[in-house]
Amino acid sequence: MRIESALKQLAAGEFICNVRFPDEFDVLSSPEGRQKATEWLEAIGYRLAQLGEDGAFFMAFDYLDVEAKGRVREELRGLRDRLQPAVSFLETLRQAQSRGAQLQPGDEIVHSEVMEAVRLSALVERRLAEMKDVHGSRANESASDRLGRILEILEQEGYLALTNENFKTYRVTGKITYLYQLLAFMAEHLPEMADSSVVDQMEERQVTIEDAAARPDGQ
Amino acid sequence: MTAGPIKDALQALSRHADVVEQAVMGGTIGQEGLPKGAVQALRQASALRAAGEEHWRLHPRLREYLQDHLQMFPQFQSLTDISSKLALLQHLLTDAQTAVSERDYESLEFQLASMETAVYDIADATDRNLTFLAGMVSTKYGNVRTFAAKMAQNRWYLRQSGILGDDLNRLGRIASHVEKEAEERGWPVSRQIRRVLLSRTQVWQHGLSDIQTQIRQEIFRTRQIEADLRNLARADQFLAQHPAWKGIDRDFDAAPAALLRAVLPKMRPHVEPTDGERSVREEMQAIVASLPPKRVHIQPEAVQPLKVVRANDENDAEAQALSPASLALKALKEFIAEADNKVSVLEWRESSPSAMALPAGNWVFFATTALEAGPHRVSGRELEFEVEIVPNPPEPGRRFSRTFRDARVTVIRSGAQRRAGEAGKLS
Repeated sequence: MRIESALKQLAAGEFICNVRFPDEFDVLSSPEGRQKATEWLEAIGYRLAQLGEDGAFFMAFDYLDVEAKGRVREELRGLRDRLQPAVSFLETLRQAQSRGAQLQPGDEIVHSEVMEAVRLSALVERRLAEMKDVHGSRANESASDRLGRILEILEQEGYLALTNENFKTYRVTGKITYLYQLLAFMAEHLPEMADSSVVDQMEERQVTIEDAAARPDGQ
Repeated sequence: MTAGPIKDALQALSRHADVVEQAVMGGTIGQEGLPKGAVQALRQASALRAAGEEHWRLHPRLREYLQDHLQMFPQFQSLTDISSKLALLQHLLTDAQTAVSERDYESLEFQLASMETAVYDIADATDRNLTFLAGMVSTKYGNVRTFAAKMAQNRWYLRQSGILGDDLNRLGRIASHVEKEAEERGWPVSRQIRRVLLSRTQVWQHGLSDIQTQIRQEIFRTRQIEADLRNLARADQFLAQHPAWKGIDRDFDAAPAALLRAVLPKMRPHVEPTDGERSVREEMQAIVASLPPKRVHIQPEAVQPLKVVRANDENDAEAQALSPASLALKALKEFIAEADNKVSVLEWRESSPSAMALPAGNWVFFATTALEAGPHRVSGRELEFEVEIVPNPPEPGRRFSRTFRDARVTVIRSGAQRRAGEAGKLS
């Protein structure tokens, strides 16, 4: 039954990762399951693709025919709709987590911990209060409620999976790699996002860390 | 052996624990700043040894024991130094060779025992280092809390694994040399070196190679994570600064896998009505039973068209009255046309079942009114009737009567007779 479930989810356009679809991910990771899925998809003109070496599985066009090229063109033209509001929400989480940013598949996000970080940063708190595109939000709602709503929206979009409802604990799904790939594509083709046009604080700090790591004691 | 010296040594270590800790972490410690009497007490306990002018170092075994103990605590974990142990093994070999040349067999025995201990120490340290590195690399974030610290830790582990690799190479050379020298002299330590060190060198090399591969992959992954987070921040900034930007409007020969994602239309399976499987049939029966009752459609009655009966229309079949009054009137006309005398409408009624269907008063009124309206077409002839009303007697006190009870009717004359009569009047 797991292979049937996996095939249905693939056909529905889902990203099968070990966070959101653990059973289906296991069956697709096995050689037999992967073989069955590949045969079934190839029979209808598609292929089994994966986001990275051990990333989420998804159904992709087998080759770039007219239909596929048209689809790619359509995706690129409407790239903003694909990215918003997930990019804005995830960037808020990243700023709240600061140097401890954990936004990779499998990383855990706890509402209370993020909220604690928000309270410690006036900049992040203001960013949270001024955020648009938070569907259903009210003008006078608290920062905690707004953050909770953002996490719910990210869950509905498929980027997070709720693991503990009582403690509002989420886990980042494999779909986030899909978002990162889109962003990397943008960075490659948009001059405004190129490395040469930006000097990051992160890069400056990286130099400092490397210097410290070069010391014999590693401290 | 009494416990006195041991107890004294441990008490000295306890009393001057700060100095001991300083020596463990810092390598050597200077005389300046040390509490008075600490150096003397620790030297008396053989815990401190001279390391240059007014500098001191911990006894190597004590340092080793304490560093080993510190590995239980994540923030102090580090690889055990093997190169010093290899150097010690070489020194012990040299000392043993010197003892042989000086025929100092007591010293030789001590050196050989020390060499055996050193061989085991080297093997234990190598095992421990490989286990430690493998464990740290397999843990995603190890003992660090931030991503940046993890990146630094990965680079440090890569460097340490490189040092361990150099140590393994040196171990192979030194162990081979010592084993060969010991074998030539027939020392048992040669068998120990072969069994404990040389036979495991290749396994250690493979293990270290796997760990280094894993560390490089982890470093690549952390670099990828760093790039992802950087792109996320820049994309957010770009989207905020370019609100009118919708997307990229041009064709590409190649696209990342993410853009090639496909979605099929939603599948809608249907039940096959002729499916003979019992579960399917039961399901279908349940579905049918749950359907609402069939609506009975009541067709409205067709509106009957109004039947228009035209009077005195002998040629219209529908106009031919079928009512009893009409039938009676027709028969009366025919009777009057053939009669020689005046006909009483009331008396004639009694001979006609059709006329008897009406009340007498209604019949008299109906027939009188109809006969007065001429001319009439009777049996192909055009006739006019003379209607003589037979009034009822006037009511008491009245002179004239207002009602009548009967009428006497006769044919006035035929149409030809009338025209003949009119012609006669004119002439």
